[in-house]
Amino acid sequence: MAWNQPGGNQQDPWRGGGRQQGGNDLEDLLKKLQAKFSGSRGGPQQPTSPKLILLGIAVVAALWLLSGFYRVNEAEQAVILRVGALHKITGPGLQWHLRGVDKVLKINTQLVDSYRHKAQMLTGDNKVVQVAIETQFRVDDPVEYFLKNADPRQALAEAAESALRQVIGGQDMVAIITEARTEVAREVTQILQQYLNQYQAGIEIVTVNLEDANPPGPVKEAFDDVTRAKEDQATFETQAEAYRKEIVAQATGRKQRLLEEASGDKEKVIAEAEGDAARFEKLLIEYEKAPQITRQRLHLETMERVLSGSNKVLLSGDGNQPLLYLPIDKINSRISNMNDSSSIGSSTGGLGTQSSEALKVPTTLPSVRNPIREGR
Amino acid sequence: MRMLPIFLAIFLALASSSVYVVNETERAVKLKFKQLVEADLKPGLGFKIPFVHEVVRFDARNQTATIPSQGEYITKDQKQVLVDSYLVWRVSDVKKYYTSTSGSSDFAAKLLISRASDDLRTAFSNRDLSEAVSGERNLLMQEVQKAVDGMAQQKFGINVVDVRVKQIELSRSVLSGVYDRMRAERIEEANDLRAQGKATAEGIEADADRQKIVSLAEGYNESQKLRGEGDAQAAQTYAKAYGKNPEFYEFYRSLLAYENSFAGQDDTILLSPDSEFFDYFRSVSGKD
Repeated sequence: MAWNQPGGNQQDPWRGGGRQQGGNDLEDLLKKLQAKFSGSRGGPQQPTSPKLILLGIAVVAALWLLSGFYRVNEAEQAVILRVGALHKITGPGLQWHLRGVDKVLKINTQLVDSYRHKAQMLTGDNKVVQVAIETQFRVDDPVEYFLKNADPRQALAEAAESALRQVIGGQDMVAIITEARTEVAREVTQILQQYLNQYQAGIEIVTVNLEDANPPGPVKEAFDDVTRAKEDQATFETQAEAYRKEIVAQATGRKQRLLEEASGDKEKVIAEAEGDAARFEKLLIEYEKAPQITRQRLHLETMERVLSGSNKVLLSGDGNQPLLYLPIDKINSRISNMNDSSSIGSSTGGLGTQSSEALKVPTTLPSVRNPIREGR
Repeated sequence: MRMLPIFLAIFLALASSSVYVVNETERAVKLKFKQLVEADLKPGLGFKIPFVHEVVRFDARNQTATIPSQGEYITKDQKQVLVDSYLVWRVSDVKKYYTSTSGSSDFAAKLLISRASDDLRTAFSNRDLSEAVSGERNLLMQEVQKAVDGMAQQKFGINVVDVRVKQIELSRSVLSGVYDRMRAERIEEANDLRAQGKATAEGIEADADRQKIVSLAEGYNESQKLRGEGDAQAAQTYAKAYGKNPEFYEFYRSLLAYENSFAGQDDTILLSPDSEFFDYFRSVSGKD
């Protein structure tokens, strides 16, 4: 181990094992040293003093020491292995290591990386769902990350898939695609972190996003139809509500109309009663002054008005003839064709107005048409 | 002086073969003439006698090995599934590991995968599909992990950290049955929703019709009351007026009634000349 003594003495308990570890730098150094030796011997009696050799060695050693500086970026951490064994962890800034002896492993511990996974899987109620997740993670323990797992990222990928499938396997299919999305993501995060801690992967799960949770292709149509059915349901109800509003409004209007009409009727009846009463009372005053005359006059005037406005058939007899044939319909039709010339004058109309007294008289007599017309 | 480089080279070769380095990620054993003399060397630098000692190193980190689905597993309820899983293992007993596998991690992984695969097959055959998927999934994995770990620790000096089931894939026939069931359920739900919508709508419309009927009936009720009030008041008015002379009222009202009754021009009246009205029609004196 003589070759390493010149440099190593002052600085560090640097042991020769570094050669296996370090490789090129040391070999270069060796070659240089050998070159020095051979140069001092091989040349034709050059004046080489031991001082010069020492100086050369010192320069080389200095250069080697300087080359040990390295930078660790903000957000990075570096794990230093010294001849294979874990030596220390350094943070950001300018750092120094023994080149060739120490091994520097740097990693950004704040950078969030992501892993995506999409697959179709079984749910707790033995159905199938299409799920996609994005797992965001960062390295939170560089020592574990570098030293404990052959391939931490593969471990993450496998664990993420297993955790996702386990959580999905514990949920109902409909819940997964609707309200349980956040719960699924939360559970996956938790379980996945647990797995990774168990594997000492040095990875922290920042978040798990359930990007997609859908029914698989072959049954998508049926699920879409449920959505449409929900809309249909709402539509039916809305339409019915519209009908209700319209009908109730109409009914309210009708009710209002009934009340208004009744109110009108009431006013009318009362007003008419008062009018009739007033008329009667006025007449009564005069009647009481001359009852007989007024009575006669009223009777005659009324009969006059009644008879002047109607068709009349005047029947007279002594009661011998039991039956009178009176073809009212013929009378009516004749009247409608011509005017007089018949012994029987009549006009259209029903029998509803005959007096019982007149019908009892079964004799035909020349009837007079409108006998009192002039009398008015 | 000539021989110096040669001596130096020999010296260096000896020096280099008398030290060894064990990395932090490794575990190592020291052999003396191929015979194991020291197990589990510490990470870092160590010394050995050249040509006598030999140091063999293994990766001691967790290894992740995918267990591919090896044919279909059949669950207790006779469903065929393809199962993907993985296991995580690491060397725990370096001596045992070296002697049983000669330090070949590929060989070790193969052994573990084969064993785990068999155990998984057994575990699935003891469970219904739904148990394997949800209810007893963790239990199943633990069971397999324990079994494989026990075997591996004992025989290979390997610690099986974890066995995890990833994918449980249904065979095509089972899957299409699942699809049918899912579809049927959705169709039922959709029909149910539409039926509910219609029922609700029917109820709302019936309620509207009821409100209409009630409203109109109330209207009738109140309007009749109003009319009754009117009639009552009118009757009172009439009674008060006519009560002053009932006999005259009878006469007067009869005349009004005659007039109103025969108001139409279309009426035909049969008259007897005997009536009082015709007294003077028959004779001048008005007497017969």
